[in-house]
Amino acid sequence: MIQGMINSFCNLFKKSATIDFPNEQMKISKNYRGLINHSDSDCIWCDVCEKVCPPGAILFLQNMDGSKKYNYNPYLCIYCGECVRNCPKPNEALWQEENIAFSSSSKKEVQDDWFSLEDECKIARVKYKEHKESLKKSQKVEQPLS
Amino acid sequence: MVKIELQKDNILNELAKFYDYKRHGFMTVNGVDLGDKMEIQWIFYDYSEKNSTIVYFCLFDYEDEIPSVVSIVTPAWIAEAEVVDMFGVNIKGVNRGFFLEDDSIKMPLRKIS
Amino acid sequence: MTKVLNVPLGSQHVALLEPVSFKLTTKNERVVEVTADVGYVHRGIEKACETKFKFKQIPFVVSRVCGLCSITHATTSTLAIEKLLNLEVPKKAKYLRILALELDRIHSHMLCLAHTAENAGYEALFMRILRDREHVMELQEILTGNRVHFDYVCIGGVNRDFDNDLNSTFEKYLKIFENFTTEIKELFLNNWSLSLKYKGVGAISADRALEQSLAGPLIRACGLKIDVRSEFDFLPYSELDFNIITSDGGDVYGRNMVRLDEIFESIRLIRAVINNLPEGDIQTKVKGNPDGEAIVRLEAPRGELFYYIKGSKKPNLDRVRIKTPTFTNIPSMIDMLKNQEYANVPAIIASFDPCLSCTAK
Repeated sequence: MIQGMINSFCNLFKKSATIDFPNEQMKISKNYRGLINHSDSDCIWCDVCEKVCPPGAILFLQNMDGSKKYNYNPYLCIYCGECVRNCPKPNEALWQEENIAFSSSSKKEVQDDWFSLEDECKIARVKYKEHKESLKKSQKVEQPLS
Repeated sequence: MVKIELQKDNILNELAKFYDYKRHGFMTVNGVDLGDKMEIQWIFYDYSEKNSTIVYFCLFDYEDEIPSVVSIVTPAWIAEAEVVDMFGVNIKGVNRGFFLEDDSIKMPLRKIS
Repeated sequence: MTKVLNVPLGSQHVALLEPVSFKLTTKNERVVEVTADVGYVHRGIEKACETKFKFKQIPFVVSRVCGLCSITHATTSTLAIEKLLNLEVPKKAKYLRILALELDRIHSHMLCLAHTAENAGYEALFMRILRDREHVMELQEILTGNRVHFDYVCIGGVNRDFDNDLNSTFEKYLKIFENFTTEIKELFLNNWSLSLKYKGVGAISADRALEQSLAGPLIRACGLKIDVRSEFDFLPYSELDFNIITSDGGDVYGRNMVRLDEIFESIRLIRAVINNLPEGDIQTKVKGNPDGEAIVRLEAPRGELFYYIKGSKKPNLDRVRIKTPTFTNIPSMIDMLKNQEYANVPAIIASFDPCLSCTAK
């Protein structure tokens, strides 16, 4: 009992176990898995990251002129890092931050229309394929003439 | 993994001959949809042997009545209830509704082409 | 005069962690009849594995079955798929998998002990164990980069290498673990409400445990040496002098002791892994698609985890069957609740360490 009293008295003066968050920053270990970042200039547009992503948090929207637009949903992402590991140019085209991701730092990141975007990407891809085939056909028709 | 095929009318006899709860652990009852038939597996292992898995299996049609093994293997009722809910098969004495609610999808794991 | 009362327990209840509902029929505060309903959190993960996801994504999907034993789910499914692909995994990767598995076991057992303490009316100890558990989570974050869903294991090996400068960090943390586990064990041994009160509560005989095919710390608390880690050679546990921890009595107290001793054993295994870590690669290349059937069992913190995987040379698998430890233990839980006093019911349920999101998948 005496031991118990000593313990409880000592506990009064102990440092608290919790972190006083806004004043004190959280301890983040090296190699923490944060947000996925993408660089348009280094990407070779191979779509590997889109194919390997388990939840489907990366989408490429096909434009009619052949270029693609990278879309990323941080709220669907499970931060497994599989896309970075499979990327042919890791740390240049695609890399994972080591900082902690704050909840919705801007309204732009909240993507309400993600599922309609998914459908849009599928339709755009089919359309682009048709467009390409029709281009090829017209070229083939033109070739024997010239 | 040892796989032993059983005949439809001989399942309970064979399992009763084999299973001794002091020697064998019971793992689970498993169902596999083969497209036109159901394969029901009863999976056991041996406590004393290393790397031992003993699989008894039997092929059934979808409408067949499958005998329940609860009289031989006591804790099998929960696995049987899951197979009934997931595949919509007919196991004797097992009711639906242990895993899935009445208004949910019927037989979700069936491969319906 | 006997009075019969029907008491529902769950699906929302202060003593229950997860949504499970029991309907108890009590006679003079003594339970005579139990029925259970476990399907509250069914998410159709087996169906998703067969239809939506390719086999390379399966470890990420199945690790979402459970938050506490996510690494065990991922490892078991990976081992099964590797068996179908005939992949030989580098030895270093196998050792690192053991490291992650044992760290997971420590924090899962600590959560269970915390809840057992809470159900004995010992809220302060609950807070204290969870405070200490935070250190384990930190170490997991250092090793894998995430706190809960590690995504550390992949088909062909592991995702992250173990740097040699982590050695000192691990040693520092392991010392902290040892200190607080010793303190907690002393409390569980000597405190009246945790030791004397729990002796004989929810007892099950070894014979009955075998008949009900119990798994994990529950069957080891009956004094039976049954542990999947010593039965299979998927992971090199035998090279690390693995001992099976047992206790006697088969009651709540015995289970607590098994869990506490297993934490010490896990700490010892982690040390052994770090000291004997072989050099070499951590991944091999994956070629081809899985073909055939494979069954893999592995010891999760709560008992044995079972995966049945069937593939037919396609990127999508034909059948994934998950059997989780709580699923095996529920028949005996229902069996054990009979003839107990109603006041003991929450403590018995907590001592099973039930994980309903595992069970319903």
